[in-house]
Amino acid sequence: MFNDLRIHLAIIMYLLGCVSIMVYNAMVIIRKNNSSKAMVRNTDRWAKEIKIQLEQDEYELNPKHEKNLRRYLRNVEQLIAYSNALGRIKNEDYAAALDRYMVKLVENDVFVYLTADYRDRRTQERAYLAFFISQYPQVAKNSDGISSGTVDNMVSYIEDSDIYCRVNVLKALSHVGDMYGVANVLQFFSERRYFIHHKLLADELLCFVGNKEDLAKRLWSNHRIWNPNIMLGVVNFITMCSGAFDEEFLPVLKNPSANVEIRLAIMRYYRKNIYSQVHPILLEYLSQTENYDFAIVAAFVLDAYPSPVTTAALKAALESDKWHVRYNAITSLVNLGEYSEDMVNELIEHDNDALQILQYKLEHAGGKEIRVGGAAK
Amino acid sequence: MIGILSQVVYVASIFFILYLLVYATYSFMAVAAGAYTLRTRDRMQTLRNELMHVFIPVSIIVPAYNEAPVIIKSVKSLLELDYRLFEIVVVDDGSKDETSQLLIDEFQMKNYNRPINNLIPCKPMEFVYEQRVGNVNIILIRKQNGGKGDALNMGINACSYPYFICMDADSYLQKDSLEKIVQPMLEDDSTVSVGGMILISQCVEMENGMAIKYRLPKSLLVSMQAIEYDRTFLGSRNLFDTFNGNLIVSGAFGLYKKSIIVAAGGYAVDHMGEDMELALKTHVYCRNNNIPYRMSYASSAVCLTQAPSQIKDLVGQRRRWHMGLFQSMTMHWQMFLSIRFGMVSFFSFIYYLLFELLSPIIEVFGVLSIFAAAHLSLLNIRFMIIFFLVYSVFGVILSLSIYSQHIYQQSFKLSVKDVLKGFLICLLEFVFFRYLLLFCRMQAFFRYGKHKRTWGTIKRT
Repeated sequence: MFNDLRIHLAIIMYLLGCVSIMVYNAMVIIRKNNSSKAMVRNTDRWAKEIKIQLEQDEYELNPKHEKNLRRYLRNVEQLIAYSNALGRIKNEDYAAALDRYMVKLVENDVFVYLTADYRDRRTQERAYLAFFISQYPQVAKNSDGISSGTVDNMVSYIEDSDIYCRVNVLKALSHVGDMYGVANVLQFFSERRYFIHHKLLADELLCFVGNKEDLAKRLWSNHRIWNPNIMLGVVNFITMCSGAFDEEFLPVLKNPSANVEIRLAIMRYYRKNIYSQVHPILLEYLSQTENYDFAIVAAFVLDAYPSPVTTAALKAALESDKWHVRYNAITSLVNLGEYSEDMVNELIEHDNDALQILQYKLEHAGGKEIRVGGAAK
Repeated sequence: MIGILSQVVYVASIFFILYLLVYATYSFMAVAAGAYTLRTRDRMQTLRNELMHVFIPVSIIVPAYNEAPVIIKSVKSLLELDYRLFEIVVVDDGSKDETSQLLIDEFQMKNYNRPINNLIPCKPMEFVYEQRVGNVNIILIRKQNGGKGDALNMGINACSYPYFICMDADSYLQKDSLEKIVQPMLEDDSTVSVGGMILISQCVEMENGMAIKYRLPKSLLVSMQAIEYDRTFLGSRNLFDTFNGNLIVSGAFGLYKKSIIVAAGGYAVDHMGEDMELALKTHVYCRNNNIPYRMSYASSAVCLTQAPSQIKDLVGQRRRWHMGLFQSMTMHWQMFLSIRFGMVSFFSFIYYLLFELLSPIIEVFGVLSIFAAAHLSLLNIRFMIIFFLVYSVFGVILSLSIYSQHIYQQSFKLSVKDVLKGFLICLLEFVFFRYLLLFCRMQAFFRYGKHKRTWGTIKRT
């Protein structure tokens, strides 16, 4: 009866589908092998062509070479080969000549042309060109500084792009050292609510080639406008590269409606950069019970603000319901050297794990032991 | 009476044909999804479309029970990882061998009164040793025996960082695997877990922490498992990942966001499939609390694990896995045909129910139907043989497709001999191995309830 249903035909259809996938895989393998060989050939060809350029006495870009660059680098495979060739030459003591070569590329607007050409390409290809420019940022700089044509074209890549393209563009602009370009890109991210992990953002900003203080000021000036995720990355960047934001950060830290994560990041900034006016605010946050994250971070930061008030507040925090508050309070007390016989006895009375935390911290600090009924020394 | 029996056999045969067609459709989709995903990823790597960051802090939790033969090698391999910010937490679940002592001696570890935040209930600890090797802190916690889930919960309580990886003590990570497994976390903030790809270590030759050669080994049993792993990790996982529908993050290598896992209640104890249960629990927790989430799969994050080379070990392993599947699905029955769970319910859960959990019952019932049909002279033997042959060829080609994907994905080179061997193994895997698995799964039903808290062990080679 099933002969009529011709079920086996359906199975054969699937079988053919599977064969087609196998053929596809085989073709991909063959193509990959061929393209690997082609990549080696193209890299050799580009290396040879570039070396001829570098070895010229009168340094002018050969029109044929320029034509080749404009023609062939529109193909992303050729761009990869070109990048490989440059990398190879860089390792062959051609560094100085390579810089002069790059200047000629800029003077002839080669990369203005290419970046414009890549605007209509798939996002992965745009991302690769941006990555290339992050490796060779000289191609986006001219005698006046930044090549606005190249940079503007790259900023336009952000439109209708994926996260890889966005990150590569940001990377390229940071390596080029274009403060306005970086700010524009982040503005775009914020407006479109594009996600970029705050750690990744801070990392890319730290690669900025230029005055990081100026960049930090420019980026922070948007803190009321940009979305909190972007600003979190910016605050982390500022914490790692600048100590000049004590006054700017203070109103945000005081503002109860400001984003929680940003306030926590600012608190960490004040551990690295001591600012006396923030001390009472940190003490207030330490007793915060609505959101324990503030108390946890305050307990961690307060070791940078030694005073009897700090010690008293940290000791009070040992009775907190939250393990991390107790842990950080003990850590800070140990860092401040503020542990005594009385404190140990009090911890024994509290009967929570604070004593164990203290013992652990002291062991790590230098193998000291706590004797019940007597503090470690 | 015969008329009724004929009707029953007729209905059953329609059911089985539909069952096979749906399974064939699923298998085809898995292969296609695998091919597309791997090709795309390969292209993106070539074009440097990658998010590289090595400062996301990660704790690697290694639960261990009687792992003395492998534990030192395993921890040493972790110390070689290309990653900047991680710690290693080994949890000795009351081993009867020298697991803890070997670690203490090898790394000259020191005893500390490490305070542990008891976020998830677990058996009490006995002692903690620590040592810093380079930039990496190694923490050894010895606790009372409570099973793998309990040991992992202790690891979660003790670890310092907001992300943790769970892995088996007899598994090894490829040098770049940590960097690769955190990438989905960088891509999407709502990612709560990432599963890695598992390769069978007997097939792989390593150099400087990276797999450089892949060969199907001499052992047919191991080779067939290698093909099966490829089908799972390069096919099914990629397919389910397209709609956030993976119901399992392998216990051998998975990354989790600690806050979500703690909030969901951590690993189940007294459970044979704690990794699958955690994945299901995470789906349930996030959906019930309207938390946007993604459970990703990263096929470029490679972990190597040893496959059983003896049938007895394999049978035991698969029986445990099937019991775990049964426990997990019955614990989270609310996911069955629930609109709230969307594709996770209507595609993933149904798949696991029909083609994994109930497959031994359905397949045995199918064999009985053949006998009944033969007895009632309803069986078209010619058609049955053709159908079986076509379906077998289909299965073999499917496995070969996946195998070839694996080869090009990792840029391995194969000789003609390897290709022929691959074909032979795919054939054997389809006509022999799946029936062995069927036997293991059947056993799981009959032996359910025994040895719930036992750790799986295999003979090391």
